[in-house]
Amino acid sequence: MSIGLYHFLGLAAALFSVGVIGVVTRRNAIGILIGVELMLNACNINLVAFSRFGGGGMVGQVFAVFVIVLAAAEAAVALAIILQLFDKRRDVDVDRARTLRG
Amino acid sequence: MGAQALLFWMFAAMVIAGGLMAVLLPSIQQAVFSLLLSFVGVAAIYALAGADFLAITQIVVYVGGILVLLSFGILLTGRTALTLGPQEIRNRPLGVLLGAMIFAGLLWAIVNSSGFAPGAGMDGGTTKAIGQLLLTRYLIAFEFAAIMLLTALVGAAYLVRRTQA
Repeated sequence: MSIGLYHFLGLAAALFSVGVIGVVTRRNAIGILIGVELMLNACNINLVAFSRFGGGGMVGQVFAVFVIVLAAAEAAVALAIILQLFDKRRDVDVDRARTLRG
Repeated sequence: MGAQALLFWMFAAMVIAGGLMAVLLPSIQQAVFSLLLSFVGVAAIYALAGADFLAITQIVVYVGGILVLLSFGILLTGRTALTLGPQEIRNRPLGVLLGAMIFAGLLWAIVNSSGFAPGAGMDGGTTKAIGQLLLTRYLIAFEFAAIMLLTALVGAAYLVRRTQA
């Protein structure tokens, strides 16, 4: 069986699940960001696979470019927030950042 | 098994192994360097799917940009990242269970999906086609992405400024 659409979809599903594990188990805010990046990469693999095998043409790859742009912007803003959190509290533990809890 | 299949499984193993290490290693520095493995593997997967422009972009933006950004984040918040130690990961069994359940659900959806008509693969480079689409059909989205990037940069610079208290 040659490599086809379903191989790429399976790989993307596995990578997405790994990202979810990272988001729900990490306490360090940067670790959570790592999980989110993995999930975005999984989504991009899906877009590229459909662009290649799904008959969608180049549209999927253009969409993937926009996802990468969004990921870069998201990483910059998230790190800015994490640095500000560190400045205020001297740690980046999301379990202890509960100032806003009612 | 052809060369393409061999390469696919090799890079897929690299992506998943790097991702698992990035998620499960207690040290956040080691996690970021495992992420490098995963990102490079994803770039190779793009190349295998015929998306050469995206493979290059993946290397430039993720490896050259986001990984360096994350490393600087760890440097600047280093004290706690080092001292959190084994307490860094909580509820690991529950998290892995959740991940496995999501993976099973996604696989179930993929297997039960109706067949997709295989499209004709693109021959040659994709860079020209992507560039033409970005400057014609998706020009508005392209410009909005540029404005959003500028806003994000200004916003990030504003957020990390030191307040005179």
